[in-house]
Amino acid sequence: MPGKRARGRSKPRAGNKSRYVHILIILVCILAAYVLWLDYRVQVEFAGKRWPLPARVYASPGEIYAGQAQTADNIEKLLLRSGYRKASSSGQPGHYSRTASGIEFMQREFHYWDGRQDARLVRVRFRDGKVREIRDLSGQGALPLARIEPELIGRIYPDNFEDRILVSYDDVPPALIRALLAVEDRNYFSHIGIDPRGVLRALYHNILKRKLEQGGSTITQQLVKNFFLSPERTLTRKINEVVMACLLERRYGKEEILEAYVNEVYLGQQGRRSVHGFGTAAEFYFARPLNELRLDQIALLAGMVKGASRYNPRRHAERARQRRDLVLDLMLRQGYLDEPAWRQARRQPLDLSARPRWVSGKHPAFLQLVRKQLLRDYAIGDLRNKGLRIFTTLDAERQESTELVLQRQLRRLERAGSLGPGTLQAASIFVQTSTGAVLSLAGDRNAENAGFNRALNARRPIGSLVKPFVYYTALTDPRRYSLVSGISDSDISVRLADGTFWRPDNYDGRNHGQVSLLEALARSYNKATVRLGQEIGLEQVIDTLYKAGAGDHIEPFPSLLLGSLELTPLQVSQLYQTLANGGFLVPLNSIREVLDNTGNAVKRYGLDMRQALQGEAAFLTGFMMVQAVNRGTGRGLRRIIPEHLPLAGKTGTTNNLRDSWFAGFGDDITGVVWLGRDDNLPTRLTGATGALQVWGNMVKRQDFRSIDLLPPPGVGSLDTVGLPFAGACARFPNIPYVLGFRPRNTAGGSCR
Amino acid sequence: MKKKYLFSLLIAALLVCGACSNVRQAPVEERQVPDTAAGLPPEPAARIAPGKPARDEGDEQWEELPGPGRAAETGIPAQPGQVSENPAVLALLDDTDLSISRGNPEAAAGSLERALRLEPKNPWLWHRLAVLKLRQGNRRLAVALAQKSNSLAAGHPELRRANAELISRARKRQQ
Repeated sequence: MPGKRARGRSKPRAGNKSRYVHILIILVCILAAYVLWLDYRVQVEFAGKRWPLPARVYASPGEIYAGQAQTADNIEKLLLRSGYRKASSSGQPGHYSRTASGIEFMQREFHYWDGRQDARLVRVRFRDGKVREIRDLSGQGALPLARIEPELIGRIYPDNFEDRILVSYDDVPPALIRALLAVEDRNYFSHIGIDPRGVLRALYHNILKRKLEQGGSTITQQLVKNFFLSPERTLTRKINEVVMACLLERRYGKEEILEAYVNEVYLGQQGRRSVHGFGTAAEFYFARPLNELRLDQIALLAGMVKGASRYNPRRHAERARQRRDLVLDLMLRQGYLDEPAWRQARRQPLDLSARPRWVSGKHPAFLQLVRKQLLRDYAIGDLRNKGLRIFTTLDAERQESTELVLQRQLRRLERAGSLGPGTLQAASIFVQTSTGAVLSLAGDRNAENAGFNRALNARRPIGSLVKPFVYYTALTDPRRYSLVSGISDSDISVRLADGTFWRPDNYDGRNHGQVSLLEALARSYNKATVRLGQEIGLEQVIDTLYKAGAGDHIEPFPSLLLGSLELTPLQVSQLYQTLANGGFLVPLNSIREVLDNTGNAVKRYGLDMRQALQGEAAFLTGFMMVQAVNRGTGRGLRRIIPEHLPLAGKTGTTNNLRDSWFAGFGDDITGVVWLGRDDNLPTRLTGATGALQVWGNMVKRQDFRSIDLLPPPGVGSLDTVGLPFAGACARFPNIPYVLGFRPRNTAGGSCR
Repeated sequence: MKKKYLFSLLIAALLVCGACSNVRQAPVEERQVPDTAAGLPPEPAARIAPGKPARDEGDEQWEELPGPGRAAETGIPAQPGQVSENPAVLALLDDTDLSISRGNPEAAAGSLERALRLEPKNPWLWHRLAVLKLRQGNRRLAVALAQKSNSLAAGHPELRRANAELISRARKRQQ
């Protein structure tokens, strides 16, 4: 070799050639390096490719059990909510049918926190408005209870707003693979990444048209284009595409590549949300999982690969149908279909689901709460990218009915109060008292409005909603106070820190003299309440509020006793949950479990609880709130929901009628409603004429049981009818009191 | 000869290309590389590092389930039909027992809470959860749950006694 080179150098002409050779060597090296670099990119980016997957948020699953008061109509509603379809027979997952004695449905496989539920055929029978029997017809026999897969209520999106439901190769319906082969790349399983015939055809076409118009792209090339390359159409990019496609094929199997393609391809857009992959598209266009689609639906989606907006079936139904039929024709021609199947598929209507009217979620206010609670445990990136599945406490049925009532009632109140339409704003929260689970939440009169969430963020003076906590505080000292203890509802002036005096008024402008605590709270007398608060001490009341979950720093102003304290509706709900739950505070919660995207449990949010208030005094306070509904400020409920009485309730109104509140609870549901204006001007509504009306109408449409007035241990009951207490003769057959502290006659004298 | 030379160069270049092709595994970048190629689920959940726990779970760490010496803590036996007449609740209690016997107290707690959603006023269920939490070492919560059970157990003196015992046991251990 050295000899050769020496000889080469000695000849000038050969030296010239040698220079060319050198240049060529360098070029080849550069080319080799380039190919190596592309190869490196293909490997790193393909193997390392992890799509950002939005977190998926589910409502609480519907539970059915034998003996439950339940109707077939209700179960049908639950099924429809979870995307089931009515069919003549329920042999396919996601279908149900009504029978003479009940309802049958084929459940989908679903991963819950406590394990997988297999697909199974379930039959529910009823008798006398109750579930008589639940039977698993796929083999397990009688079931004590069954869950219906929960409704998907929202997603937390990646930054790029890509939506994607991953499908593994084994779950891709064979018909989809055939359709893709037929229409996009018929030699897919035999070519090396490029299809020379296809390229030639495209080249010929492009030269003819003198434009880069057609691509003879294989599926592999299309994937490469989407994965690695920019969208412009240049020759360099085309060359890169070809080289990388070959490299990709060399390194990865056909199935892996096809799987990536099925998950990557772009199939639609709604607002900022882009729809990627067939799994997502199946849900987006048909509201069903990919493996439940019919042949014609699969063909429709396969046809959309060519141009998701051009063949958007919602916008261009006819064009999309033609495209679908073309795909079916190609499948027939290439032997992927037999004629009967082809004919039947062509006959099908497009059968699209209703256009999803929501971008990121159905109940944005509730989702904001979920998100807020999740962010205590997870980084935002994990929420947006890792495909977490989040199981929440939302009762979709209650949520929708409260949203509806809110809208209607606010319009009605605006008309009745001569307020301009859209003047009022609102928030509402309903929780399961014993578990603190948030069942429904509204943060705006328009449920679809994802802006300012008043339930979480509007801090408003709570008015008389503070009063039960003043009376509770008094009742924790049973030696001094019982429900029939007297208190004077007469003029009172309180010296403030700046030396001035505060003289509260009653709402009706009158003094009511000596009244019982029960009377004073039921009728929400201001002067009696301030006097009581002064007697027991402001600090004691503040202590109660802290314990019950008020959370923030509370300034010890005497006006606090009438509710100058500003809290959010969520905080108020926490206070009332504690009171309603016999003094047991359960932190309000919206998340039950978090699973990863393969169905493994990541975290369970277990029940937490602490005894924050005294059970006896809490019960007595609840009893007073029952009287407030029976004969006090809350009696408006007697007209709206007589069937739900007794229940405990308290109205709240703030200065100049700026805020209208109602908080109430029955057996195991606690709810709070706030009405007001964003500009903080008067609403012309009191708690009773505003929030109470809304609350009552919400409860009317809910599963709501009356309050159980059975005294807990430690509480006795006293018949006070005809006995003189607190300046008047008691009219209550049974007044609860803390055992060991039987109320004594405080008024003297006797009853006529 | 020159042709040969060129050809050998080309071959060399291709060999270089080919050499690296044998490695099917992708090189590690900053991103975590999933177990297999694209299209598979991104990442097992265990890797998601939670921040601080959402709630004050006290000293909750799973303690070993009790051996024979701690049998007293399995809760007091109830008469058949006394705990609940609801077959769904009874089935969930069976699940609870099964999970406990399999050494999975968290699943047991999950089943109990599901039962409580169906019968929130059932003092036996709250008692069972209290017992479970005590075993899991969450004494603060165990006490609260036993108190909750008590508040609903007006007609069940034996259950109230069991709760009282549980509370005193939990408090003793707390000291």
